[in-house]
Amino acid sequence: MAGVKEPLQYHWLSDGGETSLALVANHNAARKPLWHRLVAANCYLLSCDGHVLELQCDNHLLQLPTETIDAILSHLSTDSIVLMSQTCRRMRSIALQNQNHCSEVHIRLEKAYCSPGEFERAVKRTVGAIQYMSLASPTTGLISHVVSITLERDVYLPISVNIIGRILDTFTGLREARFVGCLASGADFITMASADGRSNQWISSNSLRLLDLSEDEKKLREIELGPRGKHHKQDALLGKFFQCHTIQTDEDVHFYVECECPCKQRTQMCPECRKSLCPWCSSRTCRKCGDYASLCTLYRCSACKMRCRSCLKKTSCQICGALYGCIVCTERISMGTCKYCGKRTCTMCVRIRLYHGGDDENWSYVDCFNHSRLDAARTRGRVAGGE
Amino acid sequence: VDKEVADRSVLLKNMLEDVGESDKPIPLPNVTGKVLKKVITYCEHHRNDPLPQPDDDLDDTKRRSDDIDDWDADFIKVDNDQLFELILAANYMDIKPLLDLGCKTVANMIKGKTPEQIREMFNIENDFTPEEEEQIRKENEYVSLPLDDSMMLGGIACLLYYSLCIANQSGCQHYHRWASES
Repeated sequence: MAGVKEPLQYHWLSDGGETSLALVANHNAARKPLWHRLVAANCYLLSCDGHVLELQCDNHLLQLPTETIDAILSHLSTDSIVLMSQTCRRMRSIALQNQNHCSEVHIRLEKAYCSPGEFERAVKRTVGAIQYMSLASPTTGLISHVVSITLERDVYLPISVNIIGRILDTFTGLREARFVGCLASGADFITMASADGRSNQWISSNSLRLLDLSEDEKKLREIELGPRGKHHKQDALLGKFFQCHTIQTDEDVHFYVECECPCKQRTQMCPECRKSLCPWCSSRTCRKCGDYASLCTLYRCSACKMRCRSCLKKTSCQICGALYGCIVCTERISMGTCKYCGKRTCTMCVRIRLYHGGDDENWSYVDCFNHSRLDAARTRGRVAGGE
Repeated sequence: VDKEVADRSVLLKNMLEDVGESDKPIPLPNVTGKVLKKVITYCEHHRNDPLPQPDDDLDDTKRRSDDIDDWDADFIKVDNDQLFELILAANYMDIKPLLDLGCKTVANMIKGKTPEQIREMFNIENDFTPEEEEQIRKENEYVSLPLDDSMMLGGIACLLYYSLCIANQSGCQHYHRWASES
């Protein structure tokens, strides 16, 4: 009878004292089936020869049980789950339950996007949907459950800094925010973050521990290796390569911005000459490890000579463990001391340099969060000078 | 089929342990002969694989969908009908690696598609009301709004929620509980 499915049956058979398993596919008990052996010695697979009646399947994803659809969603990033939730009511209900039942929500986006516009729209759609759903059903507390957002791209796909700001404003429970290869303009980001003390608000939530706005490794490498002739437009690169971290210690929350690219925005400075250490613009190689030279030829550190970019990061703050500074120089000074409270703190941790355009003088420093302003450079100079 | 192969299915394994050595038939409803053949082929190939551990679900790296090996990728190249039958069979027979393979394949099919393309691909009927469609549109645009506007929209959403709570009588309690919590 067409369309009727008889259950398959499956038997234990004994074969010469050695137990083997036989599967019997019996599609029609009334009809005498034709069987044949298929598998290895001592093992039998008996299957129906013909009369395989197909189940009526309408290619419906929705025919799957809810837990199976849940399993499919678990292999998708947040943007795809949001899109799935917009296909039909059942899928929406499953997707909402999937998100709401999570005590910790991790926002991720697929790596399928090729153009910045497409990617930005996906970010907006995903974040917007979570925001909206959370406001529409405030009891779920969805927003506070978002603990991480990971937008790590293999290619450079910049998005508006306002979206990044909005994300950091909205998801107050964020512990890690990675926007690798997503920052359109570092200068714009600094402007946006410093307006109305926004960055302070992000940090004062006491949960944000990592804010990564760095360029993707491949791009950074290309720039490291790229030529720097007279046509090099440093302004275009200004502020593009930041890696910002917030580090929570037992006592304090610190925040620093480390620019990876342009000399002007480096926070690491030689304690002797107080000039920036450029990690990438020299074509020479590191004396220590043979990697690319890190020190700018203009601002060569007399204390440590040349160090490569990776070597520069190998010294860590004794308080927070953050990697910072040139090994030789920072070993000598180790940490800065706040001139007001006398507290010794990693100078990399306590300040953000804010660039207002123009020359090198147009820098200001965000205060130490707990102890008023820390003149780290002066402290470092004093320590290095043996005062 | 070797017992080792049959044991890839937790359902069969448990049943065989319960039944013991017997000629009693074990029914496999909803699994067609064609699909069962595919299932057995899969189990034969993976007979020596380590059995999945319960903690595997907690491992975030297991949620990747781009780690399908060549044999599995070739194995799962079937039409949608058979793919869903395989998933259903794997779910019923409790063969987690095969279920994962099916789910990953469907997930890969979904990635990068628009809702309309997903509907078309899986014959999903759009059963949203115009109001729900409007809400989805707002979701998509929500983050673009200035902060004040979106807060207002949030307020409206809360008012709607409150109204719905009143409508179903027990809502006041929910609302007050929510209001006191927030």
